[in-house]
Amino acid sequence: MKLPGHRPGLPGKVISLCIVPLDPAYKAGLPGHVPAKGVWMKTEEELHVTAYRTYIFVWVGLVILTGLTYTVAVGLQAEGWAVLIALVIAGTKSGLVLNYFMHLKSERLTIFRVIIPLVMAVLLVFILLTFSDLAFRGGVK
Amino acid sequence: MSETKGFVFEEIKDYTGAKLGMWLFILSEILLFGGMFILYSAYRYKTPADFHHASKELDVILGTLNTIILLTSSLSVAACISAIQKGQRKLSMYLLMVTMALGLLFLVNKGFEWGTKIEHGIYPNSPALLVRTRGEILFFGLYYVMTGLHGLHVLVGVCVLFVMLIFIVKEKINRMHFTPLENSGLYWHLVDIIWIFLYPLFYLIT
Amino acid sequence: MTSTGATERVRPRISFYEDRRGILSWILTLDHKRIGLLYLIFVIAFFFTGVILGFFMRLEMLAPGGTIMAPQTYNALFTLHGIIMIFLVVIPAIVTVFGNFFLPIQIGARDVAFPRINLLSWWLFVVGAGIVALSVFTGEGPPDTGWTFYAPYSLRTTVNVPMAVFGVFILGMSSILTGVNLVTTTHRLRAPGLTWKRLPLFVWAIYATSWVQILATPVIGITMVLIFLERFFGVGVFDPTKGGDPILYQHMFWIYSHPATYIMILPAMGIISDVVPVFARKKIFGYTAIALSGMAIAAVGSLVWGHHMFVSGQSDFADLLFSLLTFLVAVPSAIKVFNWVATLHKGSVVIEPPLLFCLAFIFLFSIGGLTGLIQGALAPNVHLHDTYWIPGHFHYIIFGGMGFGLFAAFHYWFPKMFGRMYNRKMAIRAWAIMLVGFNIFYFSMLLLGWEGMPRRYYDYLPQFRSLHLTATFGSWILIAGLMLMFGNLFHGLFKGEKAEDNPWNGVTLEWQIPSPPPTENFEQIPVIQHGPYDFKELEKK
Repeated sequence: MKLPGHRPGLPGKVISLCIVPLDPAYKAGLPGHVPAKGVWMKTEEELHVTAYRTYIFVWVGLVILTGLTYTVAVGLQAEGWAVLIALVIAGTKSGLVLNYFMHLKSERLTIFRVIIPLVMAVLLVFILLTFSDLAFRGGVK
Repeated sequence: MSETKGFVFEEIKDYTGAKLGMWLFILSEILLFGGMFILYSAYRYKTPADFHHASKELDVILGTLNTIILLTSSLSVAACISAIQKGQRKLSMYLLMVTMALGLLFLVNKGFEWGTKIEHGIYPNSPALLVRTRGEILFFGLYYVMTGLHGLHVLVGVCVLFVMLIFIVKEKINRMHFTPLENSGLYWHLVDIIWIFLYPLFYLIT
Repeated sequence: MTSTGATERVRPRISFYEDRRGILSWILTLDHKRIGLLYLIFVIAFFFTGVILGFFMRLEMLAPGGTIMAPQTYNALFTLHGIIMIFLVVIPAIVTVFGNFFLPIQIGARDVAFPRINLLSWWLFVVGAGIVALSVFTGEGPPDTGWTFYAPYSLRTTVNVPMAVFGVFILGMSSILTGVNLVTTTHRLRAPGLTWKRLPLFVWAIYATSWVQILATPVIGITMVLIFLERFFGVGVFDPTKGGDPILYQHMFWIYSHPATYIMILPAMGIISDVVPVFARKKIFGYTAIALSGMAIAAVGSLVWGHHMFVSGQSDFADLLFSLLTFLVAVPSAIKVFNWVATLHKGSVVIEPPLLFCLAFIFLFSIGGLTGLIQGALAPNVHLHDTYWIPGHFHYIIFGGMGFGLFAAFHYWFPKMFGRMYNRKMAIRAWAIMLVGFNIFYFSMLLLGWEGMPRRYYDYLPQFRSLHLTATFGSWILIAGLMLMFGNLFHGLFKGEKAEDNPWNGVTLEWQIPSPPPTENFEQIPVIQHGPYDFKELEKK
């Protein structure tokens, strides 16, 4: 991204911001105690190139799970269990997409590991609290 | 004219930051659909039999087919990114085109599904629908809104991927710089995940 | 702050105002400071509009029966007053003006993570506001549903609800993108040495707020879309004749709109946390507690929405649960108030306008918070709901809290943003007048509500007359104070003395750069070696 104030033609460095452990020698050269993990360092970003094979295996898993959810739905009759199983399977499929297709599995930063559980928790709480109304309209037994 | 001559400013390329921004946007999309899921769960809880009954009128085969289509499109877009990382430009372009084609195929199927329903007089506020039970009216209301909103996101996704294709052709996206493509892929996977939940909740109600 | 090997370089300063000129360089700018000011212009314009609407509302309520307008007009007025004040002033103000302007500077960055998306956010804000304004003049006239757009009335009323809710939807998109931008900025662009525990509390507050913006706003987005779809396609989700549940509408609406009140107040609390230490010349008491309380308020505050619905027909169990959660969320707020007061205790207090607004905040917010607890209890709520008590409560919190926090920010950061100083005596006079008018006005509302005066009513029984008179009278004093304050600030903008770079002797990074700042903020990105309220460090130099 070009920042305001960057004049074309001026000498500039391209710096990749990424979280790499501070080189001890570099850290020693900094004044005072700098506890920060991430320093603007000129460095190659760590690249995870996922193999095509991995993706294909995941896809096969997804198709199988789709078949599974279809079969269970057709076979099972009990309403309550059916929803639960359907959601579990859908959750598993999503987990595969999130972790492998969307590379969440290879993310190291805390923020990436936190956001999906966070949003699931938020949604769950919204639904549960709404149901504290809907499920008890007739009064608490 | 600039008093800042001789001054060094860093040009920052923050690949992780761009990715984080996309993920945060994805969170907001999850909650956008999540709001609809709240409504869905409320009404299914209220009238489970009606939902079961109405669900039978949806075409399970088409729904399942569409699921496979989207899952495969997720595969192709993920592989497309690997391809560009490996410098396999032509392959990445083909995979991207496959993804877009599958997305469009999904929309065509959806169009047929909706078309058949509308022909049978089942659409929001239709006379045929309004004589049915409340739960069934709501089922179809939710069906149209949720699959409609999802379809809109698929369409937007296809357009975004098309722009990415142009970028690859123009080499603005290449082995060294592919963040926009990766972020577009993330968006596409989100669209896939939403359908992963829509499918059983609308088509597979036992 | 010490920067790595920086020498005293004498260079002519070019402020971000002089960098490029012309209107296009402003409305197409990528500079976070310019974007902050663009928001400021509109927020102030909308605030004035909202105040004028309020002024006419109070004029109407001077006497029972019709005074100066028809009932439908009154309904439209309070609806518009709410929509404008909430969506166009109070929710965006501190985040988009001061968050944009100062968060990057306070973390030692040159700009936000996504400057173009920042510009897009501003444009969405302007477009959304325009659409809301259009709803006033098109169709069958402005909405009369209250800013809450409750179904099924909002589905049936013939006035221009669709346009208004569409405008709100666009405004929501603006808010979400700002949230994404500021969270990413805080994570990725902190200067070396600036750990999370050394962040100014204002940054912590904006950070917490931005999470709420990202996670809660989409819910109102979809709700507004549904109102729109219901009106045009008859989908049925909120329509009782089709099996829809209007209480579900209220759930969906308040799932956002309650956390929205935390979007309003958290940034203001962040300002108090930054300003009080500067004028007490003392480190903030309980830094970690305040930082984490902000996150706790954001989290727990997202769980209490049902307290707007105690008498709506929701289940008793939900009533109990939401009431309990509401009492819980008061705890982190109280922690903050305690810590601010503890910071002042045994500090070297300097009386300046920013501090006075902070003190007013603490007082008014406390009243607002305590009244909130009263109405958060189930039995009193039955009596108080939909009476004047409620707007009394929320004006104490929103206007007394967020509003005075905003004014504190105006007076604190004015010299930094504009390079000039306002008249101190005038500022203090305006403050005093506002404080007096405010309490006469809104305390009367609390009393009116307690006595049973319903809200959003155009007419009332004669027994409420004297309190209504008092309230209107108080509103005039308040408005006089507001005019004095803004007049003083505008005067300072054009004719004020030049301000030094650090008139308040603050330690946070914005005070270490010129007033007004250059476009790129810092000559060199600083390396941070101490906390944001380390006054001893500064005084050593």
